[in-house]
Amino acid sequence: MLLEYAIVAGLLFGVFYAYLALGLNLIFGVLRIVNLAHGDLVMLGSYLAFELYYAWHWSPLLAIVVAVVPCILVGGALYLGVAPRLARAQDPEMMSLVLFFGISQVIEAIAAFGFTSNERSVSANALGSHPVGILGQAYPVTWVVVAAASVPVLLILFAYLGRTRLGRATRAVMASPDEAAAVGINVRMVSALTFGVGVALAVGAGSLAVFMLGGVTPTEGVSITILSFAVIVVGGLGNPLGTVVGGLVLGLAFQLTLTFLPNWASLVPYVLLLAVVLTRPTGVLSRARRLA
Amino acid sequence: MASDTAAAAAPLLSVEGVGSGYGSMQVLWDVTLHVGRAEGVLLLGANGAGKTTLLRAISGSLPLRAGSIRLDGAGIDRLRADQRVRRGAAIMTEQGVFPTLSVEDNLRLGAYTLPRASLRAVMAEMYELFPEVRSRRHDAVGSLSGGQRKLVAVAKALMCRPQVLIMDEPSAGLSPRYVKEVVAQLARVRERGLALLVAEQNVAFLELADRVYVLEGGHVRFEGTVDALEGDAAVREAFFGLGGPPSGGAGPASREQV
Repeated sequence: MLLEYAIVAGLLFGVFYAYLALGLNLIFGVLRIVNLAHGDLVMLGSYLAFELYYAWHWSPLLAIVVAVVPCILVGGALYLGVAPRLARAQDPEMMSLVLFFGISQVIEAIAAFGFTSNERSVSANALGSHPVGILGQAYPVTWVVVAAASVPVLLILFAYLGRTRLGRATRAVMASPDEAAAVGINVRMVSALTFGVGVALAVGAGSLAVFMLGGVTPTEGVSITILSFAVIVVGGLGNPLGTVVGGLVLGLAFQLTLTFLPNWASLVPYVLLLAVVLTRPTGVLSRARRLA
Repeated sequence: MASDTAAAAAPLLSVEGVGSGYGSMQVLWDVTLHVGRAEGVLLLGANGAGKTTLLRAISGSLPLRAGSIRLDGAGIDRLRADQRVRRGAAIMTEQGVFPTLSVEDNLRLGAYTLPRASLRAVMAEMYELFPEVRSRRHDAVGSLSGGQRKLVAVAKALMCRPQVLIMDEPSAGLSPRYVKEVVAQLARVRERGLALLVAEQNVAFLELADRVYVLEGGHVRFEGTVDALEGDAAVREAFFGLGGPPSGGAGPASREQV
């Protein structure tokens, strides 16, 4: 009974973790930079959903939709603003780490100024008070709604990457920016769009995170960035499909540990991160590549 | 009428007095090179002579410090790399493929600049040219042998129906069997009017050449026909380690000895 409960809960959390980390991995895949402000963008999305829900009585799910276009525009503009400077840097990777760490700190400071440093708590019944029965067990409705809202986002993103012309161009830039330019793809435009989509994914995931985590504070960005980083390392850096696998692995491991070894649960992301880096550094979905 | 004749006689790709390099290092000095319509031009030179740098400058991945580049009469040196492909100058880099994507995705991306309606026809044409590629079309390119990967790279580069195909060391890492196949298929495509600019060290590619440029230390050291190259003892000795008189004739047998 306990095992079944932990597995279903792990899958529900896993889908959410995948959504939470997808923006980070998409940006890493195309731009080869770790967006250290990822968790802070998630935090902003949480405040957006919180305000929509309590001040305007809007469904928090609307925040995902409302945020898409402005986030793509702001993210794209931010990328176009910083990319030329990064391109001129002698060590663009280190420069990008420093830059996005700075952006993270600025977002956190502005959030603390605008929303105060007190936690905004969300009622456990905010998305409904009746538990949902799955395989004979009862689960909080919040978990089910969040997982159900995450799945279509993941499906839409994978349809975009696999079926559309721009999505194929994005995968081409992920595989090799030089080759992408050699087939006529405007790498700068695709990179800016991808950065915008990554920001929109982070903000959208934040609108669900506030309900999944029970509240939001301006300082939660760092822990969310670390959690998301663990997901994408487990699934494979730069591999969007791997993010789903990483999310599910982390969700299952977390819930199983929480059920059977509750004192150790908070260590799960770090232990998994270390285990994957030491045994399979390219992620659990990595494939062998022929060298000749 | 006269202007039509002039346009036909003008080179398709014209590189005039180009200088380029990396950071504080200048690699190319006053390089001038022309490729005519449907002409095959081979760019020879030892390692470090500047062949790849020149191709990168032509394709737009490296900025010019001097000179100009024109394609079909229009200046292209201010265009981005992707815009140059849209104008008809395709480049096949030394890697030439997206290794993590399938063969079919590679070909599809090769046709990125073409209207969607023509994709099926061009892909069928490539599968007809490279049947070995067709049989592996659902496999990731990274799982193919080096030779098969190169065939995919050539097919991918041809997918956009370029006016001129610029190739960087297409024979790199290839067995003689695949070198022969790549040369044979490129010869077939050339018959349809494709111009070629190939940077190579493998003399098998002389089969495809009408003219040859030899780069040395970032300067054009020799420019002329294949026959003239074979007759230039200094170039033969400097680049191929062969002294003595030319073997005579321009046939395949003699070219293999160059």
